This record gives sequence, structure tokens and C-alpha cells, in this order.
Amino acid sequence: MYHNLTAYTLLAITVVSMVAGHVFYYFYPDALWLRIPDRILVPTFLVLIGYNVGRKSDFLMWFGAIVVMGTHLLLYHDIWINVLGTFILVRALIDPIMYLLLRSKFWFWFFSILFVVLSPVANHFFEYGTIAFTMAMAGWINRNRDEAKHIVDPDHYFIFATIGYIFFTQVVFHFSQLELMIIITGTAVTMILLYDFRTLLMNSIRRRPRDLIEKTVSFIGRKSLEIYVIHVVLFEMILYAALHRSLG
Amino acid sequence: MSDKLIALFADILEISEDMLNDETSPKNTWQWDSLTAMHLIAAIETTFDVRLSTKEIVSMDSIAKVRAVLQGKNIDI
Repeated sequence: MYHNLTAYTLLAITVVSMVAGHVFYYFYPDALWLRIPDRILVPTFLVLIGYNVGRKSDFLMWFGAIVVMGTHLLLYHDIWINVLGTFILVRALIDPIMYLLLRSKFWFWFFSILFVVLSPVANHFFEYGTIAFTMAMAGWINRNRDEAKHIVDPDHYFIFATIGYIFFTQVVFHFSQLELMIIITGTAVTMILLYDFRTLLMNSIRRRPRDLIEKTVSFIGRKSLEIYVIHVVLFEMILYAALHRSLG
Repeated sequence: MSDKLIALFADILEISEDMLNDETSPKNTWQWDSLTAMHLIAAIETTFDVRLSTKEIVSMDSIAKVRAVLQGKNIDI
């Protein structure tokens, strides 16, 4: 159905929407509707933490998390674990959590629901709060179907995670009815693509970047972490300088 | 005779087969990042028609370890 869409393309679209979303977040905070694409594509990063079997949080991720936390503290006088910190946390905990929860259907669903319910509150402490665990669990279950099938069907969990993510987004952002309808539709499309992520990976292998545009797309997809750190630090510094100039 | 596993790694990592051996790992090959690892796993599972568990994948931190896991599944490579 989407044999031209590669994993790199999906990641590159997500990165571009994230950067655009941050432009609007920092410099046009009242235009909430401009953040719709960003909100629709964020599940890509969250689900892939669980899907990806890499469990090491490398130096760049720690460095980025600390630097962005520092610039946030400077700007807002508030300690908040940004999304890189959330990634480190989820990467470290996803396997033990899954092995523990896959022992009992009751506890699996109990904690799944708890993660969704607590997510808007937990978001005050670390970015995306506990919904990051719900989404990573969806990725983990999708990748390890055989290990999870005695407790949960991946189809069902993807539907649950999609609803949970939309709940979180709406409670945190308060979108209008029309905006919410777009978010529901868009998030569902993103989740369908992530459900079939293996196909996108195979498309990347079959469809190697040939021209400059495809190579750029591939580069953006590969360098999402670096792009995140650089642009957030840059935006927060610009905002800090602008605020101090207007106050001074 | 061409080594099927090395050929697969060369294809995904986009490195010449001559540059790869059983000691190749993410530590000595910058192309083997977490995103490429996802592609490698998908390619290995498809090529050799196997399903790898999380524990097996986590243990596969060199071509030698990948080979050992596949040989443990009676795949002749």
C-alpha cells in the first residue's frame, strides 16, 4: 500500500514537524493549531523507543538531555526532564517493565491504564509523562509479538495506545473540536504506519536514497537526535536573549 | 565462497565486504547505529526466515554473535 514510504522518510517527516512545532511553541505559543502536525507525528519517536532493541543511552543523548535541561532552567527557572531524559528513562526501564507485566493479564492492563491516567500529571515532571511508557510498550509488543501474545494482542494494544495518546494530548493541550478531529485522524494514520514499521524498514533497504532529496531525507532521519539537541538549545537561547533584551 | 551474513551486513551498512569480519561491531563501525540495527534485524529475520527475541537481539553486538545466534537456530551460515 505504501511501498515508497521508508522508515527514514517517516522519521524525517517527524523531525521536520518537530522542529516546526518547536518554532511555534517558542515563538508563536498562542497559535495552537500550528502544532497539530507535530502532535500527530510524535508517536513515531515514542513507539520506536520500544520497537528499537537498542538499550544503551549514548553520550550524545545524556549530553543533550542535560544541556536542554540547563537551557530550560535558565529560561523558565524550572527543572523539567525533557524528551531526551524521558527516552533515557524509558529505554532503561522498558524491558524490565515488560517482563514483569507480561506475567499477569490483570497487572498488565492495570498498569497500562494507570500509565494513561497518570500521564498528564507525570508530564509536569518529565516530558510526555507515563504515556511515553504506554507508547513504548506498543512498540515493544509489536516487535516481540511471540513473547507478548499470551497476554495481549498487538492490534488491541495499538488501539489502546492510540486512544491513550489522544487522551493525553487533549488533556494537556486543549485543542478545539475540529483540531481534535484532525489529531484523531492523523494519529490513527501514524499508528497504522508504526504498526507496520517492519514494512517501512524493508522499504528503506529496497529503496536506497538515489538523488540529493532522498539522501537529505535519509540524513535527517538518521540525525534526529543531533537535530533535536541543536535546535532546542538554539531556540531557547534566542528566546532567553530576546526576553532579557525586552526586560533590560 | 561468499559469506551470506557478511554480504547482508555489507548491504545494510553500505560497506565493502572486505571491510567486514566476525569482529565487526557497533563499537568499531560507526555505520552500525541504532537505526541501522533495526534495519539489520528486519533484514536478518526476512533473509533467514527467523524470529529473534529481544534477549537474542540484545546479545548480538558483533557479527560473530549474530552468527552464533543464527547457528543456534540451525541456520547454516
